[in-house]
Amino acid sequence: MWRHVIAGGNGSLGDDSLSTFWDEEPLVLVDGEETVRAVTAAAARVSIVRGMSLHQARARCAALRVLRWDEDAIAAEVRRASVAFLEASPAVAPSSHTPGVWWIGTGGGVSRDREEVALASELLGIARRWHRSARVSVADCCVAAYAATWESGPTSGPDRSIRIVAPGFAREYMARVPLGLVPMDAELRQALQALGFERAGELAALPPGEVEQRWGDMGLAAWRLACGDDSRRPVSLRFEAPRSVSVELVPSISSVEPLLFVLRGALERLGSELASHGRAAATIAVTLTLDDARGPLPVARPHTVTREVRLAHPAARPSLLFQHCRALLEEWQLPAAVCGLAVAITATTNIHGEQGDILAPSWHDPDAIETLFLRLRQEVGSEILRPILRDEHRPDKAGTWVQATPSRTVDRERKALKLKNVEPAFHQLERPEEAEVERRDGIPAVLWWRGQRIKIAHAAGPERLAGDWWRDPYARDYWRCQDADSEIELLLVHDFLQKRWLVEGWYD
Amino acid sequence: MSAATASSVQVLRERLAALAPPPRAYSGVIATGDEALDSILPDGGIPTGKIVEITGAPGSGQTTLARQLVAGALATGRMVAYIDGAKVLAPRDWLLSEHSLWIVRPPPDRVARCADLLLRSGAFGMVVVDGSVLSRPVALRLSRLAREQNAALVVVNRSDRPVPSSALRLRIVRAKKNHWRHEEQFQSRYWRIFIDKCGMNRSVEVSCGVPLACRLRTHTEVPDRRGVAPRDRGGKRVSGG
Repeated sequence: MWRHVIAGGNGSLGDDSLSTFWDEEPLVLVDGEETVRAVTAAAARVSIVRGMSLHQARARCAALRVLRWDEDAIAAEVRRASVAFLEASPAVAPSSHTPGVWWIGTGGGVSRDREEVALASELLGIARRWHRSARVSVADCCVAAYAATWESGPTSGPDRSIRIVAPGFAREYMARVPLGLVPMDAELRQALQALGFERAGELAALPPGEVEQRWGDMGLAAWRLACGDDSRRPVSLRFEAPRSVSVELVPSISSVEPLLFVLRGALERLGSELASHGRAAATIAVTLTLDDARGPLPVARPHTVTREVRLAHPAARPSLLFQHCRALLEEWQLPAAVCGLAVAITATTNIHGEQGDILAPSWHDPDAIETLFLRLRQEVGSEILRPILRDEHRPDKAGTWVQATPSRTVDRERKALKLKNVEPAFHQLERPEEAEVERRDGIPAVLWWRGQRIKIAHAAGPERLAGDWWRDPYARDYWRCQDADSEIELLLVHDFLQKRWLVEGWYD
Repeated sequence: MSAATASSVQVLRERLAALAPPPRAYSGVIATGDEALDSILPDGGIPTGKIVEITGAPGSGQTTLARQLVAGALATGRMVAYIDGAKVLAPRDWLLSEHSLWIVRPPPDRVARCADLLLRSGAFGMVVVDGSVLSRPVALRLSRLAREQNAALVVVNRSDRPVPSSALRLRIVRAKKNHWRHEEQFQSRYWRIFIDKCGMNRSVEVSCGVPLACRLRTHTEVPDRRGVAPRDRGGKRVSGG
């Protein structure tokens, strides 16, 4: 079983520019909209909380120091701490939503044979390089480990900053944890508080069916966490730089072709970047800046229009990305000249790790197939079809063509056809052609078709077929006739309702 | 190493060799699946990386032979694209594969471009071009692409001009022994296939089954029991003709 260690737990971010220990100073980090995003312990003691405006915070503490929230600095520091934790355990994952919290696995690798207390002590030593009051807790699941870092009271280990929840006791431990430490939607939390719930155990005591009926999947997920049933595992946090390319077009252009030229180059760059990081694009956003002076007021911003391409199968191959974006642009009726183009990969996934076998003839690159499919349809204007059978007696209507779709599955190998067991292929005219027929004893003897007189040597038939008068009325005789000279076998149709003879095609 | 140990090691090696899968051999031909036809083809099948031409008079069985080659390629797991430039294929004859067979119908002037893209993709083991006359530059380019991608390019030639740079020509003619027997419900059609290139002069006779419909009547006045007997406005039975 995985045992999880959580280290930090109190926003432990360092700032070397401060003379005293930073958590003992009233200090806040604010974002671009002057809203408090993080507070130190000293600031929290004077009732400054996250989400407060800067004016409200200053009203509570005149000596408040304000720093800007710097994503790059935080990411760099988190990365540095993660590397330090790797000295103790191979499974280290910074929490993606809470900087200063790390999930660390105690099982596997170098830490398998070590005692949890020793590992926790080592992690604590590392964490204290960043924060004097860093805490470490060990539990069976992430939610219990996180809650344990906030526990106050008697310590269970040699150090009062270490909490260890015994294996198999996560549910019992969670029963007495404040409800505020169980992750859930704010609306659900308010609803539970309104009902007077204070502990996670009170939520866990509810019947799951009732919870689901009242609060849906969201409520059931919170109920599971309250029961100590947390399926989350430490996973690596990816530090992904925004992948986008923007180009300014001077002078403005109003046709699609130059845009495609620029788009291809941009996607080649983005695709190679993605592939080098082992990622595949799931969503591509194409933003056009229109030169129509219709930007939003009051600030004269450029008028931009963005559309997204969501790929059914994420890919990193530039040619495939280009074909998808090309289809988007060609359907896009540009309302004005374009003076800028931006392409961004807004969602990525792991690139599929399928490795092809070049010696297997059945293997093919699915991305190449999809690219080709799009290109044939868009560039060449081809129809790509596959046949299907229909429940129909008329030979010319027994099958039909439907549009094919690029498939990632390959048909299993099958037995080859035996010529002597199959019927000759039919050369079906796109439209049946009218002809005149001379008959002898009711059997076609001479055919006048395409300005030629064709003597019929043999005629097999007729195969008389008639349709339902209330649905599809037809009355036809089918004749299989052989030309006396060329020995071509023609399929003749005598249509009784329209009183004419038709040549459907010939067997080839 | 003692003699006994060496002997044991040798025995173990032999057993391991027997357990391991045999090395896969690369095959440069695609068998058609018809023994008679394969027996006369060089190396027992259609060569990959080259142009194969199917020629013959109209109605002599070119499409049937092309379908046989396609079915042979599909049987090996390869993907096949059939460019139906003239739009003459009947869907009921091509129910060979759900995913691995593409029937492509481009505009008449884009057949060569379509073949170029299909070959260039490298995904198809066989590309069949039907309903277009290939000029020499186009044929040379497609031949080079087929060689680079190791795909078989089959050209169904319905014109009198030979396809430039074809490596193998299959000429199909009707055999003289075809005859009609009205009393039989399953008849055979015979063709003779000649190989005109590869420095060989071989031919083989192949046959194809022709099932005649069971719902035949001998007289036009006999009504069809499954449907409505056609009548004209006056209520008289239409006698046809």
